[in-house]
Amino acid sequence: MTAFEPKAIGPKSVTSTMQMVLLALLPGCLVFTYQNGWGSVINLVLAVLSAIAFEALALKLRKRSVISALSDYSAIVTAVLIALCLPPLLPWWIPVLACGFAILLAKHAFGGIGYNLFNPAMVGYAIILISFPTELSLWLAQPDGFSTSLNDSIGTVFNGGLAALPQWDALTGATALDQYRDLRLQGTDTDLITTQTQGLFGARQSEWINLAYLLGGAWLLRMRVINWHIPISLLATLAICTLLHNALLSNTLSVSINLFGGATMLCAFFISTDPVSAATSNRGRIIYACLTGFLVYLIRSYGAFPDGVAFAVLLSNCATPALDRFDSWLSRSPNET
Amino acid sequence: MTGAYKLHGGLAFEPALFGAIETLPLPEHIGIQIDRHATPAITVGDHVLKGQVLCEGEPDQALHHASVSGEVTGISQGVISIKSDGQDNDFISPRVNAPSALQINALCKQYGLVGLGGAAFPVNKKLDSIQHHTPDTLLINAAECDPAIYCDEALMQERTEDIVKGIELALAASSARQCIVGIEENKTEAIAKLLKHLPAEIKLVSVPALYPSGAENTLFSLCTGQTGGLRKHHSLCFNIATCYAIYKAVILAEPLISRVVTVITESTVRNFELRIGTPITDLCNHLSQPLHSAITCGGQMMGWPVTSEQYIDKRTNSLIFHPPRADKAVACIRCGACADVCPEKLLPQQLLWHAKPHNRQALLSLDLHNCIECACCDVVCPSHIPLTEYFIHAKKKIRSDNTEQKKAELAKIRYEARLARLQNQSKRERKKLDAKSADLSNSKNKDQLKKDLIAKALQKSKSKKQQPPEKNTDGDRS
Repeated sequence: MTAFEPKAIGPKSVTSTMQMVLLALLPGCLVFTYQNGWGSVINLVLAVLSAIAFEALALKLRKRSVISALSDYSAIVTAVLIALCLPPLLPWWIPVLACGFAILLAKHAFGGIGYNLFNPAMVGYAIILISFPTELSLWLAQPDGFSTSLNDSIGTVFNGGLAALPQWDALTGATALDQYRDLRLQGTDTDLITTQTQGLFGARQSEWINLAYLLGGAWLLRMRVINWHIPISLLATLAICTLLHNALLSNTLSVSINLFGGATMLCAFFISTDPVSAATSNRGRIIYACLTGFLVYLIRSYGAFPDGVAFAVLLSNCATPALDRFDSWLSRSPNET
Repeated sequence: MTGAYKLHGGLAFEPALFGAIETLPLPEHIGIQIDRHATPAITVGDHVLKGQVLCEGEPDQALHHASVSGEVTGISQGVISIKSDGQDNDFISPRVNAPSALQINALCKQYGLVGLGGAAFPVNKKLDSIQHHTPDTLLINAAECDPAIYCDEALMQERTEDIVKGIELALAASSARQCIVGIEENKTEAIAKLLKHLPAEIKLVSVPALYPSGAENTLFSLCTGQTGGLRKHHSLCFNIATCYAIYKAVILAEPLISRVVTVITESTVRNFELRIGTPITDLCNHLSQPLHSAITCGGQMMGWPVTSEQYIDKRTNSLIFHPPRADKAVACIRCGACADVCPEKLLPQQLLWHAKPHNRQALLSLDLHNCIECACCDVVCPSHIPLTEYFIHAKKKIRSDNTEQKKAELAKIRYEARLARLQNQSKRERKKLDAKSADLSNSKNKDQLKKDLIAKALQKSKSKKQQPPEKNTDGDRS
């Protein structure tokens, strides 16, 4: 009775915010690990453990309380987001390296939680994506469903990864976005590829994981951990740009593949909604998300990388300070200026 | 009854159940806090009656009255202590029949009436402030100013008729063009009773049951749709409890010597009608709360800590025993929950960012001055940052900087004036000097003239000596 608790507000602490984000990632994690097998479970474990270790190291170097800062779960969220971007059966040091860049460079070099200019997970992922493009394009051709044993997977991970296996070519296959990119760069008619990769309501295979992220994201919205402004504007911009492109220019990816393919839903609900690196006000966030959506569309339709999420998010992060200024300029009443 | 305009943000709370207004037994001694500059009208050892004036206030401060009859036992550190004689004898004042607006104003002053919403601004001062023009709106604040305060609601449920009379008196005293009673929509019993008794010309507006609907400027914009505050629109606001006090003062000739206080313990929410000056210790004993327990006065959102050694004063609208302790603050993650609840549509996290290094220009352009210090942002902040504290501090700093700047400007003007004066003076002096030196150069010629004159005179006298002297002049000299 001593304190009357307000109704209908978001999470009560940073820790519970991060815990809820992790909980919302759970359906996505389940689908992801089912599709990619033990290889992705090992990625998750490696990423989480190394992120915690790097976080502790950074806090120790910065002479901060290690335990109280670690208990905010933010490093774990970063690690999980990185692991969910990585293909399975990578050499063990790639996820570790990604987490190292994310935690040490993107987060603590800028001042730790709350001060990072860029989304740490995307910085870590983008650096290894540029450094090891081959390894990071080796996705399994068929869902694994834990058919490869845990022992075999551990053996592969600690002996050079999937790329070192003799039969890697047979096991892997291009994702929908990969196939589209390859055909586009060859100048082939892309109609064909759209029909080949179309699943029930999105890109074949990755539609399910996108659906799982959408469910988790909807729950986050309901629990007021995130606001609608970023995910809705991002998805709407991506869909509108794709529609306009298909209507006015040439055939590009279909709207359904663009929305339910690649890392779209992960980006819309979990990555670009990272409040630290997003714009400040709700109006600023709408502009920020529209920019991200537009960049995702641009990179997917014209870029050298099949999925543009990481770069789109990082570029929008660059624009954030300018967007904040623009927004405060907009909100200033005309008689003051 | 009409609906209200929309409130941005705000917080919804589950209303608590509370009982009827209770009283405490007559306290053995009381302590009346008087203003620092007030001069006591009584001395130690005097016998005072209940309702007797205790001090001659400054013109802009309210009078204080004894809330029990008894002996004055001490006057120290701004507190007049009175030991009750157990008789509770009244100091009888004459009643005024059918008072005019000016008489109501004078009675409010005579009986020490202040706003009972929390700020304790003297009622007569508030009425004086609108003397020069007819106020547009008289707003009656029937919305509670804090989610943990129920004293006004209890009062409205039990003393509706008296309150309505008080509202009519306030309207007569202010001669406002319209009168609006703003009340939260979930106070159904109070609304029903008010609707039954309110005259037709007084409008009842039900506002959303969101904190801070009870903040007077917020309530004003909710009821009228006008933004920018009461003062901008030549309006004034009285709390419902103040109206009740006006009724008691004007009709019953009773000074303000008691008020309703919401008292919240770990298990109960109760309302007490307490005499001003009741020691909080008495309340602790009555509720069997330990004397050293942490107590917050003024509500859970904007309250301040008090101790059991203090006394109930006119500002005490609620006491919360065992308030929750604040969590440790961590870094802002820019989540924006603060902006979503801010009733003034500010960006608290941006304000915090600029308040820490006190970036004055940015704070002004982010409209820090519009912050009503409602502390909604503090409550929702997942990082537990005491944002409002930062803002209060920053506002104070800006205010003191402004006065400093004004002082500096004044000093500059004075300095420049002095410089100009000194320059003028030196100019004048130089002129004088110039004139003198001109005189001096002239005076050389004068010397010559003098010499010439003397020489002439000598010559004359020599020539005279050679002639025989005249008798007349000789006789005069001798």
